[in-house]
Amino acid sequence: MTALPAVLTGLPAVLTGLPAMVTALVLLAALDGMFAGFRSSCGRTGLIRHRRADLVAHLRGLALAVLLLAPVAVIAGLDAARHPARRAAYQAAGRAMLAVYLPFALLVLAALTAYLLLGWRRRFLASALVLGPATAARPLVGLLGAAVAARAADDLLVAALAVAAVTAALAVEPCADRRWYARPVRR
Amino acid sequence: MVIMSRPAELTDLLWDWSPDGIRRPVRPDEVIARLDAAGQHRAARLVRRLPAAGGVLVEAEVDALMLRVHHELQRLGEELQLARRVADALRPWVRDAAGTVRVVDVGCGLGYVIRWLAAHRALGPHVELVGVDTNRLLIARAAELAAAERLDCTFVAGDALAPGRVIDSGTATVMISSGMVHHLAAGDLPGFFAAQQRLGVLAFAHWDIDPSPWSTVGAWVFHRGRMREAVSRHDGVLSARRAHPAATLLAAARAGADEYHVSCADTPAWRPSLVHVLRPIVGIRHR
Repeated sequence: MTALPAVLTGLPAVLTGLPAMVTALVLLAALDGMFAGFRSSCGRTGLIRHRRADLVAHLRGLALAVLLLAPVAVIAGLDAARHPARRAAYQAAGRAMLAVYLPFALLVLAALTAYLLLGWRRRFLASALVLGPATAARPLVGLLGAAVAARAADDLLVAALAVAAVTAALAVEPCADRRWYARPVRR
Repeated sequence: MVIMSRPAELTDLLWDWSPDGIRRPVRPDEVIARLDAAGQHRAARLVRRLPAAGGVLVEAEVDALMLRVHHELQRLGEELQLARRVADALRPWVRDAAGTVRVVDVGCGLGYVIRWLAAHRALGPHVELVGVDTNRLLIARAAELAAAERLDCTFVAGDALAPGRVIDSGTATVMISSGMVHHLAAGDLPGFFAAQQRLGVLAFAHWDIDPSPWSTVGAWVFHRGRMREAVSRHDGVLSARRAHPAATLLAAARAGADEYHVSCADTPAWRPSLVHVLRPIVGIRHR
């Protein structure tokens, strides 16, 4: 395993244990999938009151994330169970991913909180300053996480699975676009 | 077809409707030649990808594209809190007017602002909400969406500025638009405001992007992140570049509608304000 730069290893101790780390990664993947589903539905319903459509879109994104990430999770789980010696590599990769994704996720969640709490005149700021640019930067952040995970793991299979996981997560939105939101919803 | 010397938005070139609502075929080779001549090579490449038959664009395909682009545009309007901005500005005028007031959204597209005002009853009960656009496709979709949510508003295909078409002398009318004014050439602006004066509207308020290098950069980032359609991204950034400065709008409004007190203010480029990324030119009749 390769040592990561100090800036990428400053995770809270509670997240460095394997169960907490896996839980955090699963939660992040689930949130990312839900938001991807939501983004996919935006600009497709045309309705003024689209809360129900938004909820459905979140659930669709979550379902797609589960579907696309499940093979990676199953392979990693089986491999870690069969080869205990490789668990350290998985742990290093997971820690590296969290070091990249957690601050990004916290920034997005803070912006969403601001969006909900700010008055309507200032609500746009959350979108303009954080949510819009974060959406544009998301693929790069995803790839950065895969790269640092691959470097931290220093193991070909673990690195490949990290890249596969990020590819699967990035595929959620295009898949939702194709499956449900290729064109405006007719009613 | 609209002829403009400024860089052209694709949505102005790919669909050609007469003010009477008659659709004219669009020849992609002409559009591409024009875009290439203007140095808009990326836009020309986008047009090359569109399906054509018999030398003209396939209407069903470009219609589907038009709807996708305008649905994305609605989403942008939601994020910009556009309808709330409009409601906030119109509320005092409507409150102070005696009797029924008609709010007419000219170039309403999918009618997002009008439908939002109807859905939230944002201006009270004595307000008629009317959306007008020359594009029958968009008007049909706007009406369909309004019907789906049982909204009390009307959509009319045609020229909102034609006498007797939407505005009659019997009802006090406020004319609004959003993101429409930059589609007009600077030379056409006085005529646009003069037409509203001739119709005798009580007031007008036309929202558009506050032009600055900041809004162009912001439009690029925002459209990259938010818009799926390449046409949306192209036109969105160009909208920011094409938006008229307040000075141009004010000069045109004063020239065309001298019976109105007009106001419009840009944020200084050295002090960008994201909150005021959209601002209206407002005219209130004084005689």
